[in-house]
Amino acid sequence: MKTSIVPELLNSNGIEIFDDNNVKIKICVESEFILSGKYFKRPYIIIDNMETKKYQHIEIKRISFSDLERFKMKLLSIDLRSSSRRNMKNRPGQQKCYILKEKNSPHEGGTELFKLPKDHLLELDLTNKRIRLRGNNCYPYIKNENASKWVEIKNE
Amino acid sequence: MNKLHLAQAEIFGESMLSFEDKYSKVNINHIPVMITNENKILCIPSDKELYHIGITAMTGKGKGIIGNNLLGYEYWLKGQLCLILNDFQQETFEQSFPCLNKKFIENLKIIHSEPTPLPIVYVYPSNKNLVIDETEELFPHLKMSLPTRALITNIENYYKMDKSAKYFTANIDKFLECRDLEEIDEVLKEIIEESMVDAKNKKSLESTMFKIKTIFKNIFDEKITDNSSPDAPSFITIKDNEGNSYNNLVIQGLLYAGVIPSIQTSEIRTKQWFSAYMSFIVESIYEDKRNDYFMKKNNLSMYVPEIDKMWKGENGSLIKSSLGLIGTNGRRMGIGLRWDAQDYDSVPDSIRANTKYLFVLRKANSQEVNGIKKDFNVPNEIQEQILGLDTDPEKGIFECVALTTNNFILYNMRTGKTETTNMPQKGRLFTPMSHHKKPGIPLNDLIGKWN
Repeated sequence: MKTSIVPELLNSNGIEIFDDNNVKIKICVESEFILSGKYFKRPYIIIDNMETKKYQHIEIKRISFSDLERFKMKLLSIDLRSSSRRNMKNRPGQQKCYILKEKNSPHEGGTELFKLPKDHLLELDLTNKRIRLRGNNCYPYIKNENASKWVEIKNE
Repeated sequence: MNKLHLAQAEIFGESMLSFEDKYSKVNINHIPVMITNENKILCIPSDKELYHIGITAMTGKGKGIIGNNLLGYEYWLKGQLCLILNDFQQETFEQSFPCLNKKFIENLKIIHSEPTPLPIVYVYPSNKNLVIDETEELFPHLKMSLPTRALITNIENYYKMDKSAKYFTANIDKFLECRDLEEIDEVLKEIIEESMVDAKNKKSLESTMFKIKTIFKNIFDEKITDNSSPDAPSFITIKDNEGNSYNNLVIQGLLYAGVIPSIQTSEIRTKQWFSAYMSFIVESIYEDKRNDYFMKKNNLSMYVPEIDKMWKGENGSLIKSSLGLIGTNGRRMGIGLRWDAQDYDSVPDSIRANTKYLFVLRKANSQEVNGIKKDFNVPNEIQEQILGLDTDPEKGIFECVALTTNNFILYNMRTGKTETTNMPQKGRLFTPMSHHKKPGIPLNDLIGKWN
């Protein structure tokens, strides 16, 4: 009735255990077998090589609002209560949305923000040099990622 | 992939590719924990540097699943020393078996992982009430005692002492040589004779000596030390087939032997000396990480299930302080804590502040998430997700939110490419390679099922 691989493990390395009086201590039944080198199999995945050509390694990190200045970007808040802006809503009852834009681009009726809105955060894709906003009120909104589209950083 | 075949495939289509050209195997070299909702494999980086990892959830929601999973990959994939510091509920016996649960095995197939047992040795701290169950005896096990010197040197941690403490510490070398109560009695008589006090003070001194004798009687009666438990060593020597020899305390010796010690604490957790005993174990490991040639050169993962219950008994501050020391200095010393707790807020700051990875399963209410929210800067939407996480052990489903102040590695399942992220991730846990205890199923039921 096998209950452990410890006997094989100890036998593999010829391990013996003794107390302070040099009396051998038996912690388990002895085994004549040893553990083979491939007892553990490393996990892996199988990939379709044709897919790899479409992707590259990307690294994403969270950045603070003050970093926007460095990337010459700004965050605008747009009031959605007027009828002309209804199509910008992500959900019924939404009152404002936030858009990332280049520093020098026009406000288009929005108000520039000087701090990050509550429950929103900024992500930087270091590989592709682009930024996006994450949170319920970002625009344009990608629902299953709860984030805006990526905006390329033109000047750094 | 053959470049010519690839060029042909780009013109004539993928049918130009052989199976070996079209598909590749990508090994997972980091510790896989879960598959995210975006179908990526989330891993903890398998760096040489050890960070602390925390797991928190309501009871019965899968904290042990993550612990068991991490233990398996840390031992087998990283070849790390691993120790289970407190098996309060005797839940680690099942982990000696490879996974035998069909649903869990299906889950392992996602990353082509295979049921793999863990080489655990069950360590029983010797005490007067110790009884090892018939079933437990079938597993590799060892009784362990506390070195008498360690207990007497820190006697006030184990027993309440008043002014008698000064006589204890002043005559410690004499007491250490005593093997039984009769010899203790002789030493106490010598102390009285040598003290040269007058008759009135002699009576007071005799009363103090009587208290000391009572304490020693308790020590011998409890059978926790090596001089009162001859069948439970405090030190062991490990010899291997290359002629190497290593002598140290039981836990360190078993680590040298390449097994995973699991300390059985269910019987001793209510004892007045539990905290002092566990503190001694932790601090001896800490000291050995500084001074012992073997422990210094090997990283150690210290698993502490139900860490918030470790300090609930008498003198709990001792073990809390020792674990706090590992919390602050562990990374530098090469000791990584893997702790789990129902009550996240009760874990001391010294551990929480140094925990770089936190896995959160279902929590009962938003109050329980507040501490997590603050430490990991969690947005409200994630907090809401935590309150609604699903757990269905029958189907092998354990939803989890993974948080970090460091980085996770994500494997893209389609391309095999990796990316790093520090963003919160929601997903489903991988089940462990070793068997996991199912509530209501006795250990006996497993015996004979492993061929």
